[in-house]
Amino acid sequence: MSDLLRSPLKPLYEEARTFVGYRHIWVYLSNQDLKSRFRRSKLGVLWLVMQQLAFTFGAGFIWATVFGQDPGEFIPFLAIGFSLWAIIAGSMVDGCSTFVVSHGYIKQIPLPQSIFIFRTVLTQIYLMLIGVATAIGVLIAFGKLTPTSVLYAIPGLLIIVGYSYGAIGVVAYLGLRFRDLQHGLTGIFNLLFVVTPVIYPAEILAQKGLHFAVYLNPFASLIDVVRTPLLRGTLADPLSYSISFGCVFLLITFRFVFAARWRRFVPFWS
Amino acid sequence: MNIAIELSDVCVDYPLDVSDAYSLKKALFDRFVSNNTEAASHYRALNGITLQIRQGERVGIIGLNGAGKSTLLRVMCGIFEPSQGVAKSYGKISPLLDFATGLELHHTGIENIKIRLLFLGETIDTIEKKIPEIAAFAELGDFLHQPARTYSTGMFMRLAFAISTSIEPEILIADEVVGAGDAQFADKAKMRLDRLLSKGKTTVLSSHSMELIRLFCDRALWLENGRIRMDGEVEEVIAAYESNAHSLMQGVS
Repeated sequence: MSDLLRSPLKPLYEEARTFVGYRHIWVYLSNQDLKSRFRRSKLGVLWLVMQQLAFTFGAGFIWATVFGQDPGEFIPFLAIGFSLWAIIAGSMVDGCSTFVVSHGYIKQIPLPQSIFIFRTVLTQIYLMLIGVATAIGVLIAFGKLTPTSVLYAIPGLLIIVGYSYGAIGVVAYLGLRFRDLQHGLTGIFNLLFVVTPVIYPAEILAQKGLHFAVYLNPFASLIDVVRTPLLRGTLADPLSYSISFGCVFLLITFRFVFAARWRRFVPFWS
Repeated sequence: MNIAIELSDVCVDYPLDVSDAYSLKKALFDRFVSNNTEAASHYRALNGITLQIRQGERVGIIGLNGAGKSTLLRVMCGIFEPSQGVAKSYGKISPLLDFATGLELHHTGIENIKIRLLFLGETIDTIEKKIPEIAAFAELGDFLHQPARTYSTGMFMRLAFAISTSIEPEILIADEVVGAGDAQFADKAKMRLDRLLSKGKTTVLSSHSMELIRLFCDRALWLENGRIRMDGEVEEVIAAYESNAHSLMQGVS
């Protein structure tokens, strides 16, 4: 045990202790984030559901025609892709302000910085769950949901949670130091939304000989590991699992590297 | 004798001009342009501080503005990590720093009490028990269930003060605590503060009020330009500090 604590695993052990020991704080903060986002709005969280449904059906019918797809196939496909993209882009973009918005606490109270990362991750997970539940509702409405599909999607959803944690952990430090990052990432993810097979099937790229655009883009794999199980009721391509798992591993590694290097500066920079 | 706080050769450097020195543009350009004509990038706020505070001691920190008092307290709390040297503390630390910041304007009074006390290390159960007492002290009445943005300045300050002073500190670290609100409330606030300052087993307190230091401390620390100028018995340190301030005044006139 004492060897374990001296090893490179020590930060992981500390992280787990913070996760459990301070769970009341970060869960509470995250709940408050969600509440204050919809404070004094009558429909509250329903807005998220309605926005997503409006987009899915509105864009779904048009794009089904443009891409020459069957709307009955395409709309469920789009519903899932859109809900996953929200957490993939949201983690990177909103993650930049993790420490920035918490500066009042960071300068006044000694708390592990990971708390603020957990808080942002949980908020993103809430949003993802609302989105995925809406998408599953669309699937049911179109009679596309098989009993096994949700089960097979669970590994993929866990990978996405890991991605969200790693991504937010990285951009929390980077976004605090480089305040331009959030603006830059907003633009980059607008572009990636079009480049990544979110709104069109990856097969279309493959048919045009652009396989590399799918395999070089880890976000395509991150979407695939949830979307394929939900739509087909089978596990996704092993390559997708490998790519997305590698991406998560890299992000989490960098999260700890940045924390070790920049932890000390966070109260000054925020 | 048990140590509560131990600093050995602690230095703290503030990075200067964050927005400029650390912009992405500069970081990228510095890769290609390597002219090292950089101005001083740090300001040394604390310099070679070595001190031990034993359990049960009450230490008052005095010094001019900018001497490093707040920085020293934040190092003791663990908010700032030293750039050099080691800072250790043994026991649960309750900070009472800038208590007015950190209240959330769109949260209600109750929510602010809960969140603030959670942060200060209280559990859900003890918080529930404290809410009535804090609410009564802050004189908020029905506004307790209203968002803090609807509060008057006085209500806001009273709530912030009541929450921050409701803790049961093991090691209390307080920065320039002053009462809040009107004259009538100031008396109440003073009594509450007095009680809190005498509750902490170990207390470190910075103040410009020599009266406060005399009242609550049995040891005083005089900081000057980030270094310890004098450390010792309260009356001696205050006498030296005041005669120094006096001679500075005469030098000016």
